[in-house]
Amino acid sequence: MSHEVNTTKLAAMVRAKRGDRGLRAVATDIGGVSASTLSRVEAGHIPDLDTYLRLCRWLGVSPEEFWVGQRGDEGVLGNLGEVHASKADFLAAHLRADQTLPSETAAALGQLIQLAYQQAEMLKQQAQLIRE
Amino acid sequence: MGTALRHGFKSWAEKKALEQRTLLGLRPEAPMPAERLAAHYGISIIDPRRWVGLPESIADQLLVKESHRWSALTLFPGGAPMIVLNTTHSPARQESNLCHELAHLLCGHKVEQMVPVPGFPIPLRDYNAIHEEEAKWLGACLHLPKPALLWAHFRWMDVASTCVHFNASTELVTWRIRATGVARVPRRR
Repeated sequence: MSHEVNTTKLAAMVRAKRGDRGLRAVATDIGGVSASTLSRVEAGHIPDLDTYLRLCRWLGVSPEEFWVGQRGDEGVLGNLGEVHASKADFLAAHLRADQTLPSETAAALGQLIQLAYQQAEMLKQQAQLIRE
Repeated sequence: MGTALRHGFKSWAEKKALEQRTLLGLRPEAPMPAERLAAHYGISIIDPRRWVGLPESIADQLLVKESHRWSALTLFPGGAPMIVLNTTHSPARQESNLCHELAHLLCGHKVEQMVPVPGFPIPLRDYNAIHEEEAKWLGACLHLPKPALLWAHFRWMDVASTCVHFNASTELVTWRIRATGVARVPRRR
């Protein structure tokens, strides 16, 4: 399952709460977020996990507030089945990237992750067939 | 101000870096291509530019339009780590990125909680600030251990030559020289 985030809603809530205050002052209030990152979030870019959680805390909402739903029939979990669902490390990925990403870039990275897991699973299945 | 490392970590990192060279049969001052270390641990390095079957739209987005926004992605299909490396970056930056990712693995960093992340189909690892700082430090040691810097220092190599020899950036070489204090070690002409 994957979660789509309503970046429009997130951006609107951040802008509304910021009001007339400057980006720098608000970023200081939030803590651990730069003014430029805040500006990019308000422009609709997807924040990284740490920034996203800090913003949710500042807004006084839970992280689920901006999730618009779950896709159960796409993505790695749907393809690989429940047997791997509990193996958190199997599905983990560490991303070294900018603190905020345009949504198209995040989507492309997400697709790349899915493809990598699908290919690895195919190779594993092929290896099993060869052994049998 | 950076996150403070735990007491003893820096010494541990320098020793760990030298251990890796010993494992590969390299001298302490030898350049150590990170790919060799990855291969030793069975970690695949994937070059997305050579990925057969990668959709053009993804390649275009990640390797052309937005190639400056990401450096590396570490995945764990079947438990074995795999690193997808942004190979459009300079060789020195690729080396540094690989060393950083390998450092996370060598430190044994485990995520405490998996959290769904906006826009991604699977949860991402929540490496905390301390883990990032540790990986930054160990990654730099892997790339440029102190004996390597001393070797260059005693040969009167300037920063530029050191960068070329060790496939490292000016920023990294300068930082490591400062952090290790090798510039203050007396040497003979």
